[in-house]
Amino acid sequence: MGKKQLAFYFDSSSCSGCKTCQVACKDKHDSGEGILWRRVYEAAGGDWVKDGNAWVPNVYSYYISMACNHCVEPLCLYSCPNNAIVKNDDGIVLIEKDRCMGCRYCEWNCPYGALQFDKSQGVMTKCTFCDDYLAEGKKPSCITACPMRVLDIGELEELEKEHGKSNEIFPMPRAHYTQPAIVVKPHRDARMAENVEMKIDNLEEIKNEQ
Amino acid sequence: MNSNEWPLVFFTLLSQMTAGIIIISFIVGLFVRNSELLSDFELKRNYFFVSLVLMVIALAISFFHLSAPLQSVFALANLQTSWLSREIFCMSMFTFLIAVCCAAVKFGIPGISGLPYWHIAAAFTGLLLVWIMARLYMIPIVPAWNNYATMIGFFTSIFLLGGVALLVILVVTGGKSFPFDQLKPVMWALIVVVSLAVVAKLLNVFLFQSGISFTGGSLPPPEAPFSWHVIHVIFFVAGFFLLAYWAYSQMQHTELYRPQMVYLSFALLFVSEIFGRAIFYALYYRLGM
Amino acid sequence: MDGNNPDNAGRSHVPPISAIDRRCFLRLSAFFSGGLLASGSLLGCLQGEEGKGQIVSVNDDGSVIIRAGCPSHNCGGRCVLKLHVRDGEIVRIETDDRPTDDISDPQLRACIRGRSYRRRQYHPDRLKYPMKRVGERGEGKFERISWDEALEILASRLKRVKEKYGNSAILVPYGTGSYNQTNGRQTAARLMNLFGGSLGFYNSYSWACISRATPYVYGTSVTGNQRQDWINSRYIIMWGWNPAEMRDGTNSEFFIKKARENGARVICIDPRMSMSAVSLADEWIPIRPGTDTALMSAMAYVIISEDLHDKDFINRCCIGFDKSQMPDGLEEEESYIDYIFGTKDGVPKTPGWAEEITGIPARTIIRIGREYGSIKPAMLYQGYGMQRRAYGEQPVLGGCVLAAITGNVGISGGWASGIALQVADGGPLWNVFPTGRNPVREMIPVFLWTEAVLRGKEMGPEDGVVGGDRLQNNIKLIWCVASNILINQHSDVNRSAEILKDENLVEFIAFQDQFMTPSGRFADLVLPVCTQFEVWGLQDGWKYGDEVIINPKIYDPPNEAKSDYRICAELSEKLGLKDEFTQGRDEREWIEWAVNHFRNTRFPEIPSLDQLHEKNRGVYSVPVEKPKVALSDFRDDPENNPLNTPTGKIEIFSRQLYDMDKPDVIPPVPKYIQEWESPFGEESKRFPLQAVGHHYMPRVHSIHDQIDWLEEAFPQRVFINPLDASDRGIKNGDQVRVYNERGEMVIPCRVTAKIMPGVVNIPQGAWWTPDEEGVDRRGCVNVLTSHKWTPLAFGNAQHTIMCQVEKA
Ligand SMILES: Nc1nc2c(c(=O)[nH]1)N[C@H]1C(S)=C(S)[C@@H](COP(=O)(O)OP(=O)(O)OC[C@H]3O[C@@H](n4cnc5c(=O)[nH]c(N)nc54)[C@H](O)[C@@H]3O)O[C@H]1N2
Ligand SMILES: Nc1nc2c(c(=O)[nH]1)N[C@H]1C(S)=C(S)[C@@H](COP(=O)(O)OP(=O)(O)OC[C@H]3O[C@@H](n4cnc5c(=O)[nH]c(N)nc54)[C@H](O)[C@@H]3O)O[C@H]1N2
Ligand code: SF4
Ligand code: SF4
Ligand code: SF4
Ligand code: SF4
Ligand code: SF4
Ligand SMILES: [Mo]
Repeated sequence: MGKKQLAFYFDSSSCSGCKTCQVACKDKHDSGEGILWRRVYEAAGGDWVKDGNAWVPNVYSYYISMACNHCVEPLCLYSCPNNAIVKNDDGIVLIEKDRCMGCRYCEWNCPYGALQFDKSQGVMTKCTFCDDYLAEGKKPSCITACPMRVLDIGELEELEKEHGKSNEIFPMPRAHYTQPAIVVKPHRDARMAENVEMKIDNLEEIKNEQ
Repeated sequence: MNSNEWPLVFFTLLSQMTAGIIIISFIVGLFVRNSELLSDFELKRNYFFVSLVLMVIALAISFFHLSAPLQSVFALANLQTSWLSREIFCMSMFTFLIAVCCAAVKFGIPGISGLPYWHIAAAFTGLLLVWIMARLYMIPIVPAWNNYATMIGFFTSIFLLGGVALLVILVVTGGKSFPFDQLKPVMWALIVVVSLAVVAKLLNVFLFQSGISFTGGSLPPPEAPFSWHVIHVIFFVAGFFLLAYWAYSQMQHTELYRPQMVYLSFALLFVSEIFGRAIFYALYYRLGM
Repeated sequence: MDGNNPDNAGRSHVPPISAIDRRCFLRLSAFFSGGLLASGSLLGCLQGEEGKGQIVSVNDDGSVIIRAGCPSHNCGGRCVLKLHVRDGEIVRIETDDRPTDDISDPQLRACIRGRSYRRRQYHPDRLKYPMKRVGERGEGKFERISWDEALEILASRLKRVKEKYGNSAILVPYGTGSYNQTNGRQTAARLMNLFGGSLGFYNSYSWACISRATPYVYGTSVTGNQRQDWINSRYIIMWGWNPAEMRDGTNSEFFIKKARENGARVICIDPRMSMSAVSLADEWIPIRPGTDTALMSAMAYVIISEDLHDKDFINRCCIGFDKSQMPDGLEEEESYIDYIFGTKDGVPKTPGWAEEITGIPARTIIRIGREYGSIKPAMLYQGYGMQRRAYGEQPVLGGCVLAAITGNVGISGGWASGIALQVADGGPLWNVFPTGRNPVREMIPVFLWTEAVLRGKEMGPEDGVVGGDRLQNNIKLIWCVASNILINQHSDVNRSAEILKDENLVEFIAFQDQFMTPSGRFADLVLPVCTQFEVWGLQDGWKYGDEVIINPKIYDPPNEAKSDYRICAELSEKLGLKDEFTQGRDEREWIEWAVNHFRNTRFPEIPSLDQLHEKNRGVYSVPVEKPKVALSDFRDDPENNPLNTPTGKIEIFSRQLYDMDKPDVIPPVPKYIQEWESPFGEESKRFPLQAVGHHYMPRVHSIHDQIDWLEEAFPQRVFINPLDASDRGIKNGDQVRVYNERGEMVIPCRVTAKIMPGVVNIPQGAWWTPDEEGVDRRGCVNVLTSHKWTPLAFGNAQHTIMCQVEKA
């Protein structure tokens, strides 16, 4: 790689799913209704077994807070006809609003649900890594919002050195498609990508327009 | 399926039908080259103009489906990696070539009487276009689309819709006194094309599409409304059998020439394709989140 | 305090002075009018005439940063917001950004509700001007009137009721909307006390059982170590406790995370796989609601029979454990150990016995009994949900007793259980705004206010009345300030609505709020209140915390809204009580007064309000380096530091409770009692599902129910187990009908394995929204709840509900 690549760190083991990060992002960017640059997925699986008089739960669950992963191989960028999606020197993937024609093709190509169409403006939007805050030497809004202190940012290589490479936790896809710039510390219940026993429990909260 | 995908249903079907008209008419033209039939009946003029109109409608639909259409001036900016960019490019070329064909017919641009260069070019671009269109949907993270069923499906639409559309054009042009005997070879050719498309479609549905799995993703497997499937199949069967019956009865001279049956059959097949395509979009399902 | 403003710590977004010069002219007029006067010490141009000022940092876009407390509703937390204010509008809300964030004095990071506050502040539905009722009561039809007319109406009604019935016919009901001193019901309470009083009440909707029961064991409510001590624990039971969602003090969830990092094992006992069970616990143990005391008893059975109890501690510090420890004259009564081993009732409280009741496998009960009995030190933290139930006193007592017999009381890393108010100085003071003495001496248990409407004069000690033999009056006038308790938050909405509709019962209802809530619909008079951003305020912690948070006034109230204090002050004029009421102070001067009060009580070092404001940190805090441990003096030397119980010891057996002579419902040792609505009772044939209504992330009770960002994040719905759903042909997302004999609602469902079979959950606080048939369309759980109260505390049992669910 060599090139600079900023990345998110997310400790799923202690994420409470409180969505403060989600709303902090909405507030900072004044994103409209239905636009979730950062979303919190509730992964759940398992079932209940009746054992005599008792109920034995074999239920597991955890949360994944997810924005755009500013991927090393951004399929969104590759798919955009207008070159409206660019990757800057810090590895941040940005949408140039003035070039976007609102075809929504990139949306089909992002396996992280990061792209959020803004109907009122007619353009695609997504997490900017709060690049304006970075320029001011501050951390992104979602990071400093987290009451559990489980979000952070850093250089991808350094984060991977510190925490190991971990970027395929369900419901994330296999990493090879886009090589996301994120390191996830797994929850004890974590399953790997493409696990068929788990599901996203909170689809109605994700507003995934599919 | 998203409401914003309905325009795409019509856009893809119309442009594929047009590609079909151009490609099949070229093939059929090769058959009946020496009989001069086509020019006699002004078929050429008709199908080029119909194609142009269809493409203009298709383009308009795709254009207005954009929420910021003015920004489409940048749409060719990413030919290197974007299939959509390539599609838009190819689409423009295709439309341009059809326009040239129209002009050639109308103003007798040299070359048209001999080898139909422009027609060849348009037909080839049409093939390329449909291939690109299919590639556009073959997105690595979309298992339902990322397979050859998409490619086959799109090409079947070309031949199915293109074939029947040409038949309709033929019948319309023929008018009340349809010169059946003279046009017999053309009709035969079109019927064969449509029948082959039908076979291909059935194979695609039963061999390829049914094997698509929706496992491995975290989102709930997509579902299209059952009624769509019903309409898709029933209209398809009805349209095809109506056409077959009509063709058979014409060949046998057992019945009067009844153009309405061809129109109806076209309508049935087109509606069937609309629902087929809508189902296709409804099956969008991506790996990941 | 170093006085270092973090925003001036060399960050590039603080523009050069010249840039500020330019902007000052453009922007500041808005602030001066709003009372935000800036200081001269750093940014010269921001200096106000009076020198009361604030260091304001200005962003590149011209917005000014003001740190303020998040409006202090009864939300479970107290946090700092960093407001970006531009042209007199809050344009962004961030949170505490003090540069250090260590556990002795962690940042007070806001939750999702605080971060969404702009959507409430600028909500189009905010009440704008005073109104009086025009339709039938409860119909919700109002017409605009002037402030003068409004206050005239209220003053004359108050006088009339006082004359006709006396002051005890007036009620300023329970209402927890604001704790910022100058907004909230305390202002009305002060005025009423000067006016001759109003019907008093004790208890809360939050803590009735736990606050009443804890002192029977410990003689005090101050049983909690300072939270920084949690990291010393090795084993933590979050018993019906969900701090990741319900914010039991800002940062409680963070402290548990730290404790875990320090090696503690954490388990969570809750019918729901709560957010805490997922993110803070190593193991989730689902329990059938209302059966906690059975589990506690079985754990005690395991602990005692395996000889894991702390015999030395029990001998030194407790009474009532076994026969040898029974109070004089009661030696033959059932001791704790008698109950556990079934000596008298013939039912040993074995894990097998508890399995049947709780739904928890006996082997699990044995394991956690052993764990809690042997891992030292251990914390058993009780949530309040399981005491907001029928016989809610029992699990409170049971938890305290488990903590006592395992010797986890009075030690670092341990936890005495019970209500556990913070030790050291007793924790937060909440409202310090002086309400004065209430001349009406009679008090009712807060939950019984509808009874006092219907039959006040008949109520006496048997209904929990204290301070007098009987009430002198039925309630005839309600002045509802910062409260949604008239309808939404009280049990059995349909019943309350019937009662309030009847103008022969309560003759006049005034409602003072920011929004037209379901309670407001029953008002005769509506008074619009400003938000806490629009008035000076001050708060300290919710349950824990060693800080004072200030709420500077950001700008003037919009439209005709006024602060609760201002409304009361103007009303006091009409009642001829102005000087007594205001003592010549405006809101800011009361906050100055409050700061002084804190200086004289909890925080001798606290600077003046001017200085606090100038520093613009939003908070004054005292780092906790050496957390205090509750009851440690007693533990070390029980003879010389006796508890405030009759025996001076931890009372596992309480003679006081024994003397009440209601052993079936108020046993002297904690017992499992089958709830009055239970899956084991007859009622379960018609209403087979247990419903709980937990405190929901996106709301503070009924506050924020209309906020789009919050509804988007956490919509209202009923949670149901897949097994119960499939029995009823219900699919995820379906509209379902939830009902029992008291009421009915139709709302969407979430089918999830994260709730126990047989239990559904309808998050409490949604606004009652009846359709023409009276079916609630929003999901206010109180259409299902019963107004039956608990035996000892006369508390609300709002989590005890049986219901049925079917596809709508
Ligand atoms: N987000 C948010 N936080 C809040 C509030 C709010 O409105 N919203 N309100 C604040 C206020 S005023 C208060 S009083 C507190 C209330 O705090 P609590 O009373 O502790 O909160 P609840 O959600 O009612 O109950 C806590 C847990 O108890 C579980 N539970 C219910 N019944 C039983 C039972 O029988 N046994 C066991 N073991 N568990 C049971 C519920 O599933 C829930 O997860 O919260 C405060 N914090
Ligand atoms: N079923 C069920 N019912 C419950 C509970 C439960 O667990 N289950 N929990 C109970 C508990 S613990 C509690 S504490 C109660 C809470 O009951 P309430 O105290 O009634 O709580 P809120 O719904 O927060 O209502 C507060 C009102 O104050 C208004 N308000 C906010 N700020 C201000 C202000 O500055 N000034 C004025 N004048 N008004 C303001 C708000 O708009 C809101 O209408 O609910 C109880 N009800
Ligand atoms: S704010 Fe933190 S704890 Fe809450 S959902 Fe986001 S990442 Fe998880
Ligand atoms: S997460 Fe999606 S939008 Fe973001 S860079 Fe990767 S592919 Fe693009
Ligand atoms: S929606 Fe905008 S950003 Fe996305 S592919 Fe189309 S033009 Fe590019
Ligand atoms: S980095 Fe900024 S833009 Fe991205 S999710 Fe966080 S707050 Fe939103
Ligand atoms: S916990 Fe309470 S004070 Fe803190 S941000 Fe949330 S609502 Fe505001
Ligand atoms: Mo409460």
